Amino acid sequence: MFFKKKEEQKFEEFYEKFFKAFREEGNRLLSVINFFIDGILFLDEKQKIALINPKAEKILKIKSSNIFGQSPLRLNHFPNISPLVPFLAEKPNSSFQKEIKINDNLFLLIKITPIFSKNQFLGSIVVLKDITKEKMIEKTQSDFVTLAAHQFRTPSSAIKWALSMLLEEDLSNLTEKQKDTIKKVYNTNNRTITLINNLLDFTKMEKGRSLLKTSLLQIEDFLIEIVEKHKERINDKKIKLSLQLSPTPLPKLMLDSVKIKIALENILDNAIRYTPAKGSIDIYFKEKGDDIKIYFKDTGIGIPSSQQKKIFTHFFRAHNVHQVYTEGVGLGLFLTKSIIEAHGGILRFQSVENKGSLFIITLPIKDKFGEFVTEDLY
Amino acid sequence: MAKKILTIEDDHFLRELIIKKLDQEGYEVFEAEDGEQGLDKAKEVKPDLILLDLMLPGIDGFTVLSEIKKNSEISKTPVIILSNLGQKEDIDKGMNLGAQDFLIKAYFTPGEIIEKVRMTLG
Repeated sequence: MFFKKKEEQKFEEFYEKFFKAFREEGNRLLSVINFFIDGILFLDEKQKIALINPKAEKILKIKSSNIFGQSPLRLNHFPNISPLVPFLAEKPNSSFQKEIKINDNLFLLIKITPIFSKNQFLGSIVVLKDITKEKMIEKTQSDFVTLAAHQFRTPSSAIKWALSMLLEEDLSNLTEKQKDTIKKVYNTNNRTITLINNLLDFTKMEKGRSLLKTSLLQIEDFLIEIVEKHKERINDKKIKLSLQLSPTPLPKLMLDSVKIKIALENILDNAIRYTPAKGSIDIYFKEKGDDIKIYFKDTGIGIPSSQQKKIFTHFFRAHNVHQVYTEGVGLGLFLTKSIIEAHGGILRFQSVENKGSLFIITLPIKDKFGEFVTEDLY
Repeated sequence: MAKKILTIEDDHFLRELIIKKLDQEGYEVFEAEDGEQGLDKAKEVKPDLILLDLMLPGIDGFTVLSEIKKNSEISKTPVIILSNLGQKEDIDKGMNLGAQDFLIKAYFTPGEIIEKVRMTLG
């Protein structure tokens, strides 16, 4: 910009004022950050720590001076930081949040937001929210439901056994009228048992949201195991199942082996159940960028297009599955989706009624941080 | 000679029902109401089959099962777990310890349990 003499004078005055205000504003902003109720970190464009507020120091049990200007990759020896390292070290493309268990007494919700100015990456803001109390309450609730449901199982089993023995006339002969009534009580009791199971499934699903123990594992191994386990059912229905393994070894993924098995098994179980006899199921893998995609393609009854929006809702069952499988309660896909998302992945599908469905699981490859990742990450 | 069956179950009513059913089917039935008693009875009567509950006072069913499998005199005795635990981890644990089968009480009637017993005994 060009200024004439007089204007130059004016500009300097303006400049002074502007920077005074800016400094004050800066101080105010700094105070807000310093007294903020959540922990805040700022990572610069090279992912180095450029700012850390007192709450974050407290949560992470570190002194600002110890970590200032460092890359998170070099902070793995701080026990409260090491579970966060894989997330801090990676340059975020978009903002995301994740619940992370630091230890038995500390759970954090971290939100990472990248800052761009004119397409240039300036750094990212990391907010650390202590959610330990909420997690503990959640756990108490879920433990209570599990315990209560288990407690109900014994008496309902006793009722079932006693009624079935009455019905089988093990105890004495019954009139038709008596039999009829007992049969009704027996069925009602079975409904109670189903409800109890739903409750237990529900708490299981709640637990599906957090991963217990992850380690670097080969996803294909799980599919081989699961397909083998269901071989009999597949053969009984004369379903042609092809499991195409990748010709070159796929990178390993950070997986919770128990959870991922439940998720994969649910998808395969649905495919087998809802594919009519002599149909086919194709399972194959693709490595795309930083992800591995697993495809489950079947020639099953499909999902009616009007109901596709709801299929991941709990207790939802599409109207065309009731006749095929009456016992289902509509938790499988809900549970599966929460497990996949807990792994940082995505579960998607395409389906045409009476033609078939394609389920696609996308899981992120994280092994580029392999050397920093320990078995007990979460 | 009648086959000998030992049922280890802490719930009095469930035990009474299953014993009645086994009795009617002509088996010789022995009973125990906790893990320790069950283990003693198993060593004493050397049954042809054991029906084992998992949640028991004192030593639990998993421990009873692993003790049975460690004892050469009774390690070959088929053990059918009959429990209300039904989580996959429990089932895997029971089967890995050498159980013949894992039946969830709420899913099986005494008649169906007898059927499994008969099949296992051959």
